[in-house]
Amino acid sequence: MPDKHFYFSIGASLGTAVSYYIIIARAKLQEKHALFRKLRHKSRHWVLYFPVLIFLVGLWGLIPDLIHASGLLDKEVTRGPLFNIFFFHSLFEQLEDSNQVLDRYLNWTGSIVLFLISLISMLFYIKIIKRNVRRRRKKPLDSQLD
Amino acid sequence: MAEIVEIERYLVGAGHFGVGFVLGFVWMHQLFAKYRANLNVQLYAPFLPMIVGIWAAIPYPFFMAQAELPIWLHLFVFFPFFHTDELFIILLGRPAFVALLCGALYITILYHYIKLAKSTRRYGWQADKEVISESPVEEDNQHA
Repeated sequence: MPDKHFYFSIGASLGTAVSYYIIIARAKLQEKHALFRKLRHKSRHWVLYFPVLIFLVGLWGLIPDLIHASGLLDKEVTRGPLFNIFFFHSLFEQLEDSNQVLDRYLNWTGSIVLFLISLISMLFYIKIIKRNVRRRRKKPLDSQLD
Repeated sequence: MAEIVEIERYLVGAGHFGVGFVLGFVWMHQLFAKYRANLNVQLYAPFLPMIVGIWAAIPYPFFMAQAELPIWLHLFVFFPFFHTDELFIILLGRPAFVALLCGALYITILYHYIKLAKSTRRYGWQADKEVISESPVEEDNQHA
């Protein structure tokens, strides 16, 4: 069975892609959809909280493990075809028996993907902060107040 | 089974990464405190936990199941000591626990960036003042 972080990494990748789209198209989204207007009204910095989305989408892949760990269902049940909706959970689980080399590669891939996502998130914030500093240097707060 | 028991006598690679990550995290906060006025430190010091974590785990693939380790490996965040220390094997021997620990510390790093982004959007970089202040920004949101 690939480790849990592999399933989380699939979700985190998807969450990153969705976050990227939202960040790019946020002006348009705020115009069209009430949800994004509400978020904007709640905090003008709502885009900065995109890691929450990455985490939540990543968590989707861990739901079968959480169900199994909480004792609600047996492991065999969580390996059923229905659980493929959780990022092909049962398909990957069956790899455990059939192909252990691929299983190991998947685990490595999961680690690398998570590492890259965490680095990309940090670089995104650095870019935002540098842009803020540059803009504020050109247009200080005092001049705005005047 | 014998192989699993053999490896459990030593700290796993994730454990070494966790040791380095925590150490790097402490260094990061020391740098924050010492160079509060330096924007580059505020921006790039959060990479320190990852760098030190990877540095601590580099020897693992080559020496994963060895008890007798060369002394120069201490350069990698005291790799021989942590590799065989029972307390650390118990504490950081489970990758899931290391993932939770590093994940929690990583969240604080992201929180640092978010506060800095909010603050710089409002004030820019004011090295001589308190860097992170978010209340006026929140007030703005209420009026927006």
